[in-house]
Amino acid sequence: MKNKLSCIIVEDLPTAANFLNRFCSQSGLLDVAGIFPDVTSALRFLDERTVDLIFLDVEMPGGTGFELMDKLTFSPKVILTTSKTEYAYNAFEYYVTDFLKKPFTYKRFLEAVEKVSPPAPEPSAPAPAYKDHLFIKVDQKLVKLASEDILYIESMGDYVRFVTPLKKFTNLNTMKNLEERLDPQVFIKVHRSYIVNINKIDDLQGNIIYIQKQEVPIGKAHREQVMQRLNII
Amino acid sequence: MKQQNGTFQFHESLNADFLNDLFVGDLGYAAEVFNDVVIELPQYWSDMETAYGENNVADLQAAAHKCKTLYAYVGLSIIRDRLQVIETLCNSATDTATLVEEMKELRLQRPEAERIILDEIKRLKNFHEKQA
Repeated sequence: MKNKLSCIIVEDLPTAANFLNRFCSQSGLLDVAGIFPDVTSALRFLDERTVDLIFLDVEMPGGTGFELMDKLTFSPKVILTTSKTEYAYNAFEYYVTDFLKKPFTYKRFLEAVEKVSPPAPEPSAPAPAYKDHLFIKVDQKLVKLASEDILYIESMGDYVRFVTPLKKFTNLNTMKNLEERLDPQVFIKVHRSYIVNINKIDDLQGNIIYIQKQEVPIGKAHREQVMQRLNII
Repeated sequence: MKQQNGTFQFHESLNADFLNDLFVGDLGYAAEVFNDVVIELPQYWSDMETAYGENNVADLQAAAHKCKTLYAYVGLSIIRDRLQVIETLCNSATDTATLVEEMKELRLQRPEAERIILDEIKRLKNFHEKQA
């Protein structure tokens, strides 16, 4: 039997949220872990746990669905639910799984859900090739950074800071983009705002990682994954 | 608007084909949704009037968008389309005064829209209870 996908609904209109919740139950394919009327409460929940799928409205009080996606510390599937077709282009840029125009029928809902499958790596698929360096744009020029020189990366709103032993570089970027571009064998996300080079970790005490005497916090949602990756004997 | 052959016929002002697709015969749930819409609408109407009075185009657009979505759930295409026009005009408007005529038309449509929804709730409940 197929495992159910865990999902949340982020939607400020109760009528729309109830409708969607009902479809989820009716399908038998989804476990709704929570319904949130705004971005802040959804992010608070997602700090503590991950889900397979997010049904995400765009226009909500206190922030948009796109802002939520920018702040995610993991990569769930996202189905946008909005009544504005103008967002279709942004949806495409964010690689969302589908775009449901409210109100949508159960048939259309099922088509969208069927596009989402639990993340299972193809055993025969070759591992993606990651380069041992990257170029980042800093002050009108492209700076080459060797992966092995990066100690950690810190998110600062719309920017990220690459910290190396000698220098810090600030670059307009998102953590989500970096997660996709950096070698997961070397880099690991340890907090919503931090990715560290796992080879550079000196020690770990409680929820703090020390890298060359600098402190990096571990987020609750990431702790288990971090501990699994460390070579603890 | 008459019931024929044991099937429910939505009011002629409503998009019946769409509503039949949306509720697939679950008239009890349709009544619930119509009721939810009636409960939620006043807040967004109030937000819309406040934004209009305060000359806040962005808030007017946001509230019109919410009202539009709610009217869409009950298949009220005419008022939904009017709200879509206002929402679109807000993209280029710098002053709510440019929307006087559209808002006037919208306000005129509101009482009739409300009456249709309330009547439909009664009819849906009655029909559902008779079917049960």
